Amino acid sequence: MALSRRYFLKSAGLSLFGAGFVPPFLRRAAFALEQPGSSARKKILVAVFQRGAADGLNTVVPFGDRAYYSLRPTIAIAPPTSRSDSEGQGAVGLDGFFGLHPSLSSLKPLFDQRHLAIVHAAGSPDSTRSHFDAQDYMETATPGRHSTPDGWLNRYLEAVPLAEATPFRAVAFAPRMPVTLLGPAPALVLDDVRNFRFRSMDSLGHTAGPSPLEAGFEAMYASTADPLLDRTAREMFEAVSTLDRIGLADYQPASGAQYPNGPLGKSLRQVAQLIKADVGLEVAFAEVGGWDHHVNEGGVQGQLANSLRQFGDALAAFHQDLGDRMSDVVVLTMTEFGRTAHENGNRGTDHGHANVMFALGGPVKGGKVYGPWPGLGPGDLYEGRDLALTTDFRDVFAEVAVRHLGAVETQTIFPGFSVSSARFRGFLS
Amino acid sequence: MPESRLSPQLADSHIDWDKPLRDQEKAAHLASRITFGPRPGDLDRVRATGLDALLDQQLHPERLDDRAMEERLAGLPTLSMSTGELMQRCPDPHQLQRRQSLAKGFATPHPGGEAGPDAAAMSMAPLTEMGQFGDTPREVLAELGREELLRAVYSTRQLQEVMVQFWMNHFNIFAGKGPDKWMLTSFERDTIRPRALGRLEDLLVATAQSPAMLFYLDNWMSSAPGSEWCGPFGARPRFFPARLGTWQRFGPPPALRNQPLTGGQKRGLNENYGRELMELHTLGVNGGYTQKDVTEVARCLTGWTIYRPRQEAEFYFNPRLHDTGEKTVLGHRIEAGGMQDGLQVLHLLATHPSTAQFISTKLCQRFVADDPPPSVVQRTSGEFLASKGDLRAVLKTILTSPEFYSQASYRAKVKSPLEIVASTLRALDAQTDGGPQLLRLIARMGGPMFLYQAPTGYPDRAGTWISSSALLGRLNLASLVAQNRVPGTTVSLEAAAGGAASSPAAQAETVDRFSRLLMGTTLSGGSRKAILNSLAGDEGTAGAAGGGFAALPAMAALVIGSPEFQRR
Repeated sequence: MALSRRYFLKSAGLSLFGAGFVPPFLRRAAFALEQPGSSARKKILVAVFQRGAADGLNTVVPFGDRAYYSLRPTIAIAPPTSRSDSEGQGAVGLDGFFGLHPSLSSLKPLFDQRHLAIVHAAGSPDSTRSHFDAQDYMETATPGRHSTPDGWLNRYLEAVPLAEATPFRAVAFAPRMPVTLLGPAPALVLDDVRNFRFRSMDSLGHTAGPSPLEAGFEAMYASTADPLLDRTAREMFEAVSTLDRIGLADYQPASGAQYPNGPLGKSLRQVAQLIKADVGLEVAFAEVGGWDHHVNEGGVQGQLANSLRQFGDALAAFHQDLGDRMSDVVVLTMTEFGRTAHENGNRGTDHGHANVMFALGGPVKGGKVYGPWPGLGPGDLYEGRDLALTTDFRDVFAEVAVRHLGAVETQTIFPGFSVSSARFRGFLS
Repeated sequence: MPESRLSPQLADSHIDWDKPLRDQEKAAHLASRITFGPRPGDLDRVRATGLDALLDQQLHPERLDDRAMEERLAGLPTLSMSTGELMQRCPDPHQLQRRQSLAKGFATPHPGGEAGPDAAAMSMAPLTEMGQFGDTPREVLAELGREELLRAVYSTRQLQEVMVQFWMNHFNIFAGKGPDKWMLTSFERDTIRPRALGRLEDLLVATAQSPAMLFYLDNWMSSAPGSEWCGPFGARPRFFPARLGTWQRFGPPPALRNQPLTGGQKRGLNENYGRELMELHTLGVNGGYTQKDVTEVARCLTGWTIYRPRQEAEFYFNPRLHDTGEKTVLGHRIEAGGMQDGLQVLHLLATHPSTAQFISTKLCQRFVADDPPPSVVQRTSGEFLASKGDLRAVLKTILTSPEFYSQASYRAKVKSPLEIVASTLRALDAQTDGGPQLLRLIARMGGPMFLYQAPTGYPDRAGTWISSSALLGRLNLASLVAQNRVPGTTVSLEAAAGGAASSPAAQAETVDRFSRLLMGTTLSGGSRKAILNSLAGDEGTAGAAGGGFAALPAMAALVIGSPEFQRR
């Protein structure tokens, strides 16, 4: 849906500024509209962070590794079975060695159609088992360093500036700005696109144009010398007026896609809406919590199964909803570390090391589990307890940044890490 | 009235801590930092009685009559209940179902016991008592959030409330972790509140012994290897009911039976609390402890656990879980044995210079600026050590310092969501029941109460609170409150404004009156001009009969939503 330039001029309340003075953010947006090709058909990355250290070993099950079953006597997922009466009782086979947790069965067709790739035994080389330290390290892509002030995707935005960027270039669906997008480059934080508006001003008795309240707020913030408030306000006002114009309340996902009701489904549904609305979205971030299953994680049924069902169904619905547009989109999932190879005494698992990452999208060379498998034998485990690492998460991030988003210079995006395509796993063409 | 200025930090990137505030600004500055914002008349009173009097009064809350506050809270029954009562009377819906099934004999208890030997007792309680209270755990938390908001708005002991919020965040506990949702009420009331202006060591010991913290950071199940709970089959303590697991029947899997116990992996020992105690509660991440210290501290704190977690849920030292060996923490030998080991560690940490530095830094961040100058941090740290962690002495040092009363500190802090709501309601002399809509708005602004997941708590910096969605939340708060569209909250703008304003000159005067009410000074030139222009440009207000009143909510909303009012 094209946005008319006239709309922006009208909603800016030009009467406030007088003819001739157009605030910088409007000039930027107006420019984008006059070059319709410039903000359309860009490559899009959707980063999904599972907060709480999701259990990779029960997500993509190494049923071909016998040690898996002796390590997890009660919560292991059984190998795939061809018996139809035990559907949902065992892993969904992928390649004869790995299988998906049965709650992720909606991802199986995507794997078979080669849209979904998996990188196993991936993660951070740092040994911390502190959730928030590890999340910080992953979001700043500087494991071991507490002092990094910005997130890797914000550094990408700075490294690849866009003259005609709209405020929707980077959008996070989170209660606060996630560290991943923290930094000097502008990024929007949205809670709900349907609700991202000013509350009704009807009782103040206006009829036409923006209410004096909105115009007054806008003018105040435009004149403030407070740089943080000024910048944030500009992005917020433009986002509100754009979303209002697009009218996202009655969105119907395409192709019968049905997003599950949880937070990830809700976020991805909105990401899809923004993509289709062509507002210039390039980097989206969503997060989902509740993975820290120290107690009663469960196997085929249980807490993890429930979380995975929401997770898989949300990704599958997103894929279905976007349809052809997935050719420009990559969804990358990540979590701060894995969990212990063995179960603990509470039918759960404790903090571990390496984990699993998913890459979903048109450009993905799917249908394969990438990364050497280190094994789960006693001598193979990291510190005698965890899945060992064979892929640094920064190599996965870098492959996406270089091969999908087209970043050329990676030194600033991944400081202290030398990116080499020789180490890319090759899940992107 | 002095014309307001923005903090020079914003206009000029070089921060000069040597320029003092003008006298007329000091009252507003002190009030905005040690209270949740001035109410009508407060600033005149402070100017009359003096800054020292205000500070002294607030540093001694016990001398202040707060009975009206307690009356306001009388209608919130969960606030006075013990954790055990809350668990019993406000169960999760599925727990209630299960209890009812047990009582009716429709289900059999698990072989390991629903919660040990007390399951029988619980299942015998008459159905009429179980869950009849009607609250779910979510409502328990909502009531607690309401209390925090009401106290921030109405308590006479404002600095105490400011410090309660500071410590609740410093010792952050995530309500979403298991039974912590029932434990926070007691944590706030019995652990934090009585000690908010006391000595740090008392706070440390109390939080270390609080079931809420013991559960949140897993110390309740930390035990020495070879201790009873970590018996021959590696059994772990259970909080929630479970069937007898494979380990209990057959022992740990073969892969683990001959596992060597590596450092930090001693079966049974949980280092989570030991680490956070040093990293987040006392020394700080650069405070000079090692991984070995983390393990040793955890060993000292084994046995600090929860008694009857599903019934009374109280602190209990279980000597059978305690690691009685000798330990070394930060170079000190700990060999007393028993509960004394933990107390010795807590004393060591409470009096450590790194703790003085870390706590002083955080307090200066709360009261001076996001990045306080080293001079005030050092001085405060010195006072901390000299007074052995006496928080009143420490606060007095900060709040009388030249750095505090400098222009660089003026309006340097962005208000947290709770602070902006409370300061708005106080300034407008609102009548509020602290109801759910306000808590939802606080959540929308990025600060949902008791729901910060990490033990770090919300970082006390501007960037935590300013994002596009948070800012929209603030502007919506302003317009909803100003239009009296928050159920349970009413403001009388006519009283605040002193009457209608129909002419532009009168409008300007009213805007100035609102801003003096809310901030103690007028707005910046830019904000003021923007507001008056927007009012002038609106046909709905100029000339229409009674149009002046329609403009009052708009004016109030604009001032509450102004960039200046977002700061304190």
